[in-house]
Amino acid sequence: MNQLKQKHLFLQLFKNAILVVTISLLVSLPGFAEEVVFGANESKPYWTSEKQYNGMCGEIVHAMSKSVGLTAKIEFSPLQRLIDDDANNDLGNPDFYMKSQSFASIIPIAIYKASLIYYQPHHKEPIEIKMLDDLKGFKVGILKGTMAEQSYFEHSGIDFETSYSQDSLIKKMKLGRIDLSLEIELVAKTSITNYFPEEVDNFKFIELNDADSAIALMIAEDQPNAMEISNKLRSGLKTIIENGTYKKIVEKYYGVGNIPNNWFDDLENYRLLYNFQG
Amino acid sequence: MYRKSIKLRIVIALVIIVSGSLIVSESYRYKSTYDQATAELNQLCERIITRLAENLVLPLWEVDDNWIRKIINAEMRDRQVYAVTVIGNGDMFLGRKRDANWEIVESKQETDPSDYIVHKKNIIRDQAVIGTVEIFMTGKFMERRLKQDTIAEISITAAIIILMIIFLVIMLNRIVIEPLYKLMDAVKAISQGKYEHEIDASQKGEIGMLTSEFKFMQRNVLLREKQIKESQAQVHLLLDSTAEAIFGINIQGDCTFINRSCLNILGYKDADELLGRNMHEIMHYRYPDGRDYPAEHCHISQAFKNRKKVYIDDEVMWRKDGTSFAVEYWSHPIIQDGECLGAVITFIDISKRLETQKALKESEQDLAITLNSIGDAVIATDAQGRVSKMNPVAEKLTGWSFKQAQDKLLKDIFPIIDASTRKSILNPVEKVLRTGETVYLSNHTTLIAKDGTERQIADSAAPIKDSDNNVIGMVLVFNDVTEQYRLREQARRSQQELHDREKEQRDMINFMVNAVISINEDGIILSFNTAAENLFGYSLEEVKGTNISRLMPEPDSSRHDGYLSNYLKTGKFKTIGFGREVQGLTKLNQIFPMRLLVAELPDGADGKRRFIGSCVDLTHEKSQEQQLRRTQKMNALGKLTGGIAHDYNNMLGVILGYSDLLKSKLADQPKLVGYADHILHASKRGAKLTKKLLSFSRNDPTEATALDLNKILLEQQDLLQKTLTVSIKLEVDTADDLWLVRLDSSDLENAILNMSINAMHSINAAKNTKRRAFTIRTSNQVLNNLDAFALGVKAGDYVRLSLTDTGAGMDEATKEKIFDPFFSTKGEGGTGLGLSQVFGFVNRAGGAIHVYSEMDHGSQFALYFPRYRENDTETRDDDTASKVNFSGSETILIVDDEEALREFCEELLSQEGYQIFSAEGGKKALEILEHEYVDLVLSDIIMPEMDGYQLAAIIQDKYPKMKIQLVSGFSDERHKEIIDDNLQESLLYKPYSSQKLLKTIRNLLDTDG
Repeated sequence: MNQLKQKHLFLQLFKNAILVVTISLLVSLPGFAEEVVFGANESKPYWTSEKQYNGMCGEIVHAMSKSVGLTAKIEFSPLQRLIDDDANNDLGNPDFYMKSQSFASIIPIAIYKASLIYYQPHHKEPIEIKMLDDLKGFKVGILKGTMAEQSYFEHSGIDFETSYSQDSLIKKMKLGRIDLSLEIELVAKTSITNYFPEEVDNFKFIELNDADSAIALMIAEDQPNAMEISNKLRSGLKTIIENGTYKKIVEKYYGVGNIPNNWFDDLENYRLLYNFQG
Repeated sequence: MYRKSIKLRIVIALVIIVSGSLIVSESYRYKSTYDQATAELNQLCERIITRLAENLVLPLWEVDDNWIRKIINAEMRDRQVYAVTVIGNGDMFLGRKRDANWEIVESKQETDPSDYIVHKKNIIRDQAVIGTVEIFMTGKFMERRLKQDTIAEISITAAIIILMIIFLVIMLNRIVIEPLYKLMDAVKAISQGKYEHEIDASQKGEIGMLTSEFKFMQRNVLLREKQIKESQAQVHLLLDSTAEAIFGINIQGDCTFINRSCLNILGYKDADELLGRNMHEIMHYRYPDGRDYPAEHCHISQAFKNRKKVYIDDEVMWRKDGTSFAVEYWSHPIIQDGECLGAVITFIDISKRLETQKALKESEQDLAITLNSIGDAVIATDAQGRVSKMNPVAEKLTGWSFKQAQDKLLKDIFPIIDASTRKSILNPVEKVLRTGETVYLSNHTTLIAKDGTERQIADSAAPIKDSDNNVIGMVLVFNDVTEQYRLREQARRSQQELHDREKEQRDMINFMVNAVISINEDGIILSFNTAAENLFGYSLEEVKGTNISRLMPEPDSSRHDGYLSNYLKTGKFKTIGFGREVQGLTKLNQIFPMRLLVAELPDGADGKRRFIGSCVDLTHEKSQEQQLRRTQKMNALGKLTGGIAHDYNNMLGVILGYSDLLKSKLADQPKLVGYADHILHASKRGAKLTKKLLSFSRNDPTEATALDLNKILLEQQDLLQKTLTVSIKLEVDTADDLWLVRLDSSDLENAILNMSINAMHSINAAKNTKRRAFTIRTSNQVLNNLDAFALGVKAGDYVRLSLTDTGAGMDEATKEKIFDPFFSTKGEGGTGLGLSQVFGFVNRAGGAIHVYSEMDHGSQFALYFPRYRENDTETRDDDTASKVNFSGSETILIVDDEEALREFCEELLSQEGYQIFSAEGGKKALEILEHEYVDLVLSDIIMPEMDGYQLAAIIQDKYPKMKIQLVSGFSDERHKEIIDDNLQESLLYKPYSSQKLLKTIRNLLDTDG
């Protein structure tokens, strides 16, 4: 019974972390008929304003829009603004956006996965985490604003420390300020490669079950022609999956042949899930 | 030369001072401003480094270089910040500095601190140092700004100074230099004797003042020149004008000057006759007696020989014609620069003065003789109040001889005090000398002689004035009036004693409790004390001088003069020497009973015979007597009616009891039950009638409860109004916070109803009654001893219930009988028991009734009930309570001389299961008790041979545990003191219902002990 409860809380923790990315995919209003404006937050490599195609998801959005004759524009809001906004304090509730906002459609376009990461040279033995109790004795880093039920974790004797960016989590881990970091796997890898290219192998990833989630586009209900745009975007996504464009984009970030297993199955499952909810 | 010198020196001095001051002040200011700016820069640097150390905690912990860069850039917006470096984990984490164009660039190396203000601070997180931040501030901007400010300030100040110097030179020329030269020219002219030289005084300020002073000096020089000339002429004129003879001599005694008076006195016409000649040889050559007066002895020449002033008044001088005259002269030495040059001699012819002095001396001798001959004491003083004369009488009275007193202040030898208060009196000398008026001493002045002897004196002091009316002294004349004063004081004391005695007598009469009136033989009132004023309602002023008959009702009023006349003729008067009950008449025409005692006084000053009368008000006494009579009558009637009622009650008890039994036996025959009910109803009516008979004489506390009269009245108001009918207005006036009383509420209701019905009959019977009203009023009353005595109750707190009608009223005869049982004014229509019932009820409550009535005006019944103070709650027996089980198996002894009643009790109690013994009297009962055990004795009180009280006392003595219930149809108090209060209080009154008897017995058996 206790184990079940712990597992549930563990997943809850992951979902909170995932949600940050999901929110970053919140779709904004299209400015005019042929141009669809999206809002997102910096979450390299998924979303970034630095690269030409706005990261992996940005490339997918541009490609699927283009395939159906739309022009996508992505406006980035800094993650800091999101964190400082009080309205985001309750991010741990997965139904928050669904309950407070109405969407015409939710279109999953990618999958991401959260992992626990640690810096091997600071630890004599490999770390194994299967249950929440296993985190006891470690200082765990997590992105600020993604923590729910902090008091519960504190009560359970788990020492958490929040950071303002995913890069900071990696850097702090490297300096020994935190022992473990809960991060989106692809984001963490990008950050490690960027800052510590020679120590990529020293950062170890602990896989977590049920820690994947969808990155989705959410079309506001009061958006004029919302259903028409949604249908077009769904059609565009289908087109680029079918013509291989989608796979190329994903492999560009994961590496050829390194796309996670069940990626497309998961994407289909989430499509069905949010299609129903939306 | 001078012109250049003054101006130049002032200008040079000014330039030096101003320039020096400017340099010093600017240097100082620059230095202090620089220090202040440097300090401020340091403070700024400290603030920035503190802010950075705080703001960088999180970014450095988060290892976020972009964040750190943004924070540093924000602080470097101040261009005085040259560089900021952040050290983390021992290495330089991030550095920002300025390039040659002062733009912010990345810094990889540490900055040389020598040219900057450097502050360093640790970055601390959770009390651990995670890095350091260092800031480099440049002072070059601050210095540049300071230099620019200083140069600008010096330039402006220098320009202002130059302008000021130019202006100063111009002003110096115009205001100082030019006027000074003009003054110099004027001084030169004046020094040359040109006094009229014009000096321009149009200048203002100090130069103007200097010019004015010059002009003033010029005028003074001119004036003094003129004065010297005039002074010389005046000296000559003065010397010639003076009446005194003046001449001067040199050290050889030759005349150097001589005035006109001197020439005239000596008989010369021209000064030249004497100037240069030896004056001693001409006019001072012989003594008064004719002997030669050698020059070497001359006193005049002593002045310059001894260099001292000489005064001589006993020599003579000789005229030109060889005659001499007495003189007094002064010879003053003339000393100049320490050398005696001669003498000035002033002399006066004193021949006439000597003659006057001689005459004055003769006059004084005459005055002394006169003074010594006067019988009064006389003391004269000078203007300072010092004794100058004193005659022998004054010496005797003051005890001071003239020699001792002379020149002493009058107040020292003439001490006077007030004879009454013995306080000092202001000496007359001061007032007379001050005011110049004659002063007379008061009659009570005592003079204390030198040897302490005190004498009463009468005196006066008058001023002595010269021919110009100036006060030059005072004369005090006084004589010894000690004897006269003693006699006068004696007379005054006698007068006071007489006055006091009269006042005492007057007070005695006025404060007497009894009214005291004195009259003369004509019946005219002479005195009327305060008690008389209170009794009759007149003031002394109203009755004094009027006839005493006004204080009497008819027929005494008309007959009084005759009584008095008869007495004066025969000497017989019933009242003289005896107390007699008569009637008095007040100012308000109210007649009251009083006891009058008259005595004859000695004849008055007018020779008429006088009488004094003492009057005692008998109103309260009469009222009390009336009350007593009524009470005695009621007691007698009570015993009479009580005896009858007892027999009735016994009979009614039998009827009631058997009716009850009959009713219970005939339960299945309704018709017969109806008959029994009729018997019961009639019996109860009979019982009520006997209760009324008894109520005015019986002491029955069992029904009394604490009551609020107001509440009863308000509850009864509707019923009363209906009783009175609409033709009579009922007015109920209840007092607030009315005290409680302890009464039988039904008795009270009956009483009010009775009196209301009486009032209605009285109002209806009244003739010409305009107002038909019946007023009931309640109030709290505190009865004092006197009021309570009149009502026949104890003094204390009472509730007063007054019932007033506007009916026909009652005469005295009716008033006497209204409370008698069976007395009625309604003929056959009344039972005559109403008011007797009220009387009994009020008496039983410990209260009283006061009746006031006036024929054709109405009546008032005032009922007084004692205030009830305890808060005990009481419950009444309720024999109408539903029937409950009162049966028992105890043994009861019934004692009653009434056989029927005894049998009824046996029947009733046997039916309820009790074991019964019965006895017809006390003796039989005691016999039974000797052989049988009995739980309770039920005994009648009134029985032949031995009554219930006596029987109870014996039983309590012999069988203390045995319970006793006494029963009576009439409470006789003959033996009640021999039983305890409990038996008395629990007395059962006949006739009683079977329920009440059973309940009483059961309750008594169930009580402990």
